[in-house]
Amino acid sequence: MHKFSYKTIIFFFIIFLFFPSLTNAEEPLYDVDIHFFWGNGCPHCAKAEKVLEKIEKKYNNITIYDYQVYSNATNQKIFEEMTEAIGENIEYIPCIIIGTRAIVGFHPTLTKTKVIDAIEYYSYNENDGPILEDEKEVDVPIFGKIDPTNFSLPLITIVLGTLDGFNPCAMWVLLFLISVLIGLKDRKKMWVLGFTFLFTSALIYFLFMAAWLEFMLILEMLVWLRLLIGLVALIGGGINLKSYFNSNESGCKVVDEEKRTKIFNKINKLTKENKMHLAIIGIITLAISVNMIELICSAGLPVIYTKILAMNELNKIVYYGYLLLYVLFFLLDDLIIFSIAMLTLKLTGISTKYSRYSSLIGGILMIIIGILLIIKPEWLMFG
Amino acid sequence: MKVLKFGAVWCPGCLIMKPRWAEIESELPWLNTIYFDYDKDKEAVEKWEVKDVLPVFIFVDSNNKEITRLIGEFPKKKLLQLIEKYKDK
Repeated sequence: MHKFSYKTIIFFFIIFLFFPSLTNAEEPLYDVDIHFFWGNGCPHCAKAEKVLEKIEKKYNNITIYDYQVYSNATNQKIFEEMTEAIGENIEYIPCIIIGTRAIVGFHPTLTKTKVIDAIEYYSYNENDGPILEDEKEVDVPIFGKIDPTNFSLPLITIVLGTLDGFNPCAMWVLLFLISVLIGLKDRKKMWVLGFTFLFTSALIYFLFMAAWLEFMLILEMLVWLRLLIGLVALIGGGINLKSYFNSNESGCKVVDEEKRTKIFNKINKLTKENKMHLAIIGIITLAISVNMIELICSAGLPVIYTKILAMNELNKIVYYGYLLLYVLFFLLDDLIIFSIAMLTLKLTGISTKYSRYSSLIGGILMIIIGILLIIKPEWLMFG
Repeated sequence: MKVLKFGAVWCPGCLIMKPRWAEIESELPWLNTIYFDYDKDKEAVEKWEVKDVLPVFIFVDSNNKEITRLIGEFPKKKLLQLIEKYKDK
């Protein structure tokens, strides 16, 4: 039996003691959470982010959580709680917290070294730092654990989009167009022209919403803008509730004769156009002009919604995906009426009595959003 | 008594009321109703002073005098009650 010499034992002892990484060349024992606190427009944060991106590729046991703290009250709170938990009073960013170690500021070489050192340590040592409690998950029978925040933004998009678009009285142009199209008895023309009108209307509204969203993203950090939009929501909610309580009447107010006649003449002319491409161009022009006028009167909910969207840090594709979802539900009542008419060749209306309930729900919702925007904006940050 | 109905093809409330009146008219064949299009029958619109909210239903007596008018959407039950009330006028 081979016996280790005294010197060999000492040699291996020193190796194990001073080069733990050699002993740890095997699989890491623990997953490591890295909490990265940063701010929009902070140049050192951008550099630290690049370092973290490189490190992330090298380790498969790390998860990076990033928190934008300049304009996000929830993230600011997490930053305070985490720094307090590790016994530090840190007020600067970038700040990277791994276990109980906080790496504050940025240094071209030291930041990377410190992060790697902490990852190496916590890969083989249990986390003794603050752990984010995932309070968001709710146990739902059958579905198991779900995170309600994942559903909040789609839900608010659907509700606000539907409320924004729900106005039976505003459908008069579409209804007149459908009535003329039904009279034509040319199914292809009906579908093409009707769909062109709806698609152009959707596109105009989408562009209008996109402009508001970009405006909100640029001015994301302005607290007064958030307060102003909160105020707009409160006033808009009040107007909606007033119209619910004051109006017992149903029915629609007639649009002034000159405007109505002008639009109806245009529709009559372009639906009789034999050349399809000219009819399509005519319908596009009509949809643009009609919708541009409506946009002026309907900025309330789009402004509130795009502000909420901008407060949730998402990537561009997701932002625009939400806008598409909003516009789809904005046009839902039009799409229903159009589809029924095209399939049955009968014109159907949506009862104007529902407008009252739409005002009630919209009013309550706008007031809640207004209050949250002013005093609890973090509750509207669902991500 | 007769009922003058004022509506338009582009008015959602009018479209909602159309089948309700159609049902009543088939149930009460003796009932005299006349439909006026808001865009086409301008003379009647002016004569009966139909303002800027549609639909409008005017109940008229045998002397062609207005008894009452309804503006907006109403349930069939309400229409039947009024018809019953004024049918002999």
